Amino acid sequence: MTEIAKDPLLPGKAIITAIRQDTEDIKTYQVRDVNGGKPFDFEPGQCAMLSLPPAGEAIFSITSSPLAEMMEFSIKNVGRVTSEIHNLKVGDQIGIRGPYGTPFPVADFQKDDLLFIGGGIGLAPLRSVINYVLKKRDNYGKVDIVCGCRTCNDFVHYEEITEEWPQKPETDVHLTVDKATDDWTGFEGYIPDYLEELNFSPAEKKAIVCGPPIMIKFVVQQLKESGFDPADIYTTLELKMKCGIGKCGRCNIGSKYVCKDGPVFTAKELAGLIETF
Amino acid sequence: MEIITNAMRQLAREGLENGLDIIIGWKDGRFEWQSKPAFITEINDIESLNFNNYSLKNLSGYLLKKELKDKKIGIFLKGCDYKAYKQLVNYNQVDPENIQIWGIACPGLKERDFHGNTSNAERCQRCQEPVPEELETIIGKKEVAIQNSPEDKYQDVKKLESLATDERFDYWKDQISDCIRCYACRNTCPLCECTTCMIAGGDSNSDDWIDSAKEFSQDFFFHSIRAFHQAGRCVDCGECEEVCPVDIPISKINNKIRHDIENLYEMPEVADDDSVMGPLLDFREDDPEPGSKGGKENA
Amino acid sequence: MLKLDKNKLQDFLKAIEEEYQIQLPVKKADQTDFCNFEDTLKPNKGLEIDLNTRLSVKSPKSYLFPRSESYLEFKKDNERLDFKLKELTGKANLIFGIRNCDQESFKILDKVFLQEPVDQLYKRRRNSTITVVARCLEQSETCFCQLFEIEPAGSETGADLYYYNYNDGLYFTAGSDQGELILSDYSQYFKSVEPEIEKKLNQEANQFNGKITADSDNPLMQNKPELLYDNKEAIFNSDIWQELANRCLECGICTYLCPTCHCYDIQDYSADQSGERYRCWDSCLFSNFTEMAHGDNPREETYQRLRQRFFHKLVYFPEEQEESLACVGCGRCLGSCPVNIDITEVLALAGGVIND
Repeated sequence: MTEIAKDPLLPGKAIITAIRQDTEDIKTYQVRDVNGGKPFDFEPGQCAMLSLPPAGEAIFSITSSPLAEMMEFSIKNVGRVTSEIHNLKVGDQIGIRGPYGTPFPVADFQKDDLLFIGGGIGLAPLRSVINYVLKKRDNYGKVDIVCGCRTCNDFVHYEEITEEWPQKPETDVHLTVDKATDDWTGFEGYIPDYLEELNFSPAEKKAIVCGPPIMIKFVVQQLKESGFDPADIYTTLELKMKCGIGKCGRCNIGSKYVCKDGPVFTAKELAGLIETF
Repeated sequence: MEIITNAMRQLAREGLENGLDIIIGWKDGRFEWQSKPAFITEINDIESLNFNNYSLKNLSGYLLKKELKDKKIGIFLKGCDYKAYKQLVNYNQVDPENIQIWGIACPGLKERDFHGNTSNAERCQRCQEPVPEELETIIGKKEVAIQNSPEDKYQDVKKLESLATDERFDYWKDQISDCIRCYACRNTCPLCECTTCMIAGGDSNSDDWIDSAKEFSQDFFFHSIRAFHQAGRCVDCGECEEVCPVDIPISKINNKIRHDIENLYEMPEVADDDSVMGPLLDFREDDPEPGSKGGKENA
Repeated sequence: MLKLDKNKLQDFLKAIEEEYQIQLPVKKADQTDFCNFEDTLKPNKGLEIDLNTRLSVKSPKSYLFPRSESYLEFKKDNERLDFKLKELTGKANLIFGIRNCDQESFKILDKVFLQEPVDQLYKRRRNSTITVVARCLEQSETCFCQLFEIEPAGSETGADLYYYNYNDGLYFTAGSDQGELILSDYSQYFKSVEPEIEKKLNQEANQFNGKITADSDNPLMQNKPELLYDNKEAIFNSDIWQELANRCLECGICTYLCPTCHCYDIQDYSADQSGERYRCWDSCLFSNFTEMAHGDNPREETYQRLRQRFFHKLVYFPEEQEESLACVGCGRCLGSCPVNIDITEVLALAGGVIND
């Protein structure tokens, strides 16, 4: 291989092998390399840059477990690249490069109880860790998964959440919606309110949070109030990115670049960072 | 200059005392050849106001800043600045109710080139209305000599028009290939009032008509479309050319269009009130269509 | 030290043009900027080599990091998609007559682009660029390189060649093996230098390098650049940013002329199903720099973006890169900002915050 072939901005080639419509504006794409395998190895929480010329590139968190044989991305249609992605068919080729960013430190989580809190599409990066943990179930303590969405039609991976995860040993799934319909039997209300009611004990527990910025802010605040050590609260940051390798400057926040020093940060690390926007 | 400065401070003081929230004027820059916009909210800062030989910046564009919405503003406008202001009123971009204007009889200002040589500002040499006569309050000596006649201000345009088409193209290619697309011309223009620029958001997420690829055609497209958007609005305040870091003679493009509008459509260079449609907003069957095959001949 | 007679300069450049694409400061209309040497030989262009003007309009960073650089070709054919990297062709660039501030700016760019993962686009240009530094023996009023501990008259190494522009000659020394090679390969253009002249020039350079310190009378050097770093919280939260934002035009002049600003965008340029991917300069002062596809923008306000630019140069970059400040004091922002916002004014305002 020549030096030029190692250029970090050169995407590899991948194929869309399955598409599932999760909600009105979210689809989950299964992606494999041209030989049918995973485009590259990664760890839970890392991201990949997907390339759809001429619409361009955009960065997404990988939602599948690193132990799976392929990669999955849950993508909400919000902009130019994502709307182009929503036009893709099975068999279409795309560009892919990565993995980017720091992962969730799953090795450090061993033996701990884990509390996952995901809001809306924020479940995407959490799902990668959850499925990894559930596959290596014996290494971890009790798992609680709190998921919130606007309505019951906005859950991504609904079947997995409601049918597969609760079947696992010592695993509880708690669902809430902002606005309930008549047939909804779960909680109705925002995630912080639900957390207050669930009242988890912080002892020996790590919390992993992802969702819209405003939700992260209130959840982290609440967890701290209920006794969680900020160093035990993990979250992922979303910022606009172009290069993925800490050079284009776009995701710079303080002395960090979210693409390489994040997206996973503890609430302790964030405390000194988040105000530096 | 001292007379203007003293009057400016006096009016600003009265303005703040009588309930204005903010005064927009000029203060000295770091060097003698600089002058920068000043935003004064405290009586204590009034002494920093200064009108000097380089107070070229047209302040009227600042009235578009979203932070200033609903504020009571006092602003100093030279002849050219006032023309731009009137356009902003015509296009409903500012609310005159909230704005106290003080006119400045502009004595003609200076500019300094890259090598440090100073001369009479080019825009001032073209200026025909250095004094905003319509205004109630005008500071400075009202008798200001016009540096060039109305026809002489098109000297540069005429020189270019006399060249053959390919020579003209070469000229513009040479000029525009220096463009770094910093968008300073657009951002400083008091009449580029769109909050989102349709021809150049400068970002890959928006569906821009042009992109940032270093292609002459893209840069050329940016400048020519911008000139067309300003047709009938541009007041030749010269801001765009003044700020251009690579000295592209942007005013020549605008002035060429202005010259054509005056000649072809018998319109005033700038509409005086909103009853006159701008040349690109108005269509008449007998409009001349120069350059278009089958259209009416050049009037 | 070797002397090249100024009247031999053109012949020398023509000779080395066989090997290198030469870029040098050229006077065009009212400005001086780097241009291709070849263009100065065309009589109708009206370009004149200008070795006297201290600073070029644009920084020579564009030879390492072009305003727009196409690096990838893509081709779509039904569902099939192919990417191909473009190769860099042509001769190595020789940048003649850059000043030491700009030379030092390359070190800052190196820290960004050559740290892992190495930016190959930058690296291949960097590896095929030779620099010839014109030693400054005087400053213009907008200079403040010594605030950043840069020696205007240059040092021994860093560039490939250094020269003094003195009377009728250019007096060269080599700063690298490559520089030595040029001096020996083209020795017919050079002659030896009398020891007194060499001594005199070196003395002047030493004196000048050491003359102006951060506590001199120069108003641009009154506030040390560490000020922001040492008082970052107070300055971050002060209202100086809103004051500056009031007049900021949010254009890209400062970032694009700055030799150390390096933020970029990646875009696709297409004709139907095939096209090119390129990267181009971008500016943290543009409102959509951080605006995400769904509309959220962590730096929505002008004052936040202005603050980010200066904090990046004087706080975040040093935090990340072993205390290296990302400004070289070239003064381009001082001369070109239409509303006079520049880094020394920021330091002065910040000084006011601390002293209050």
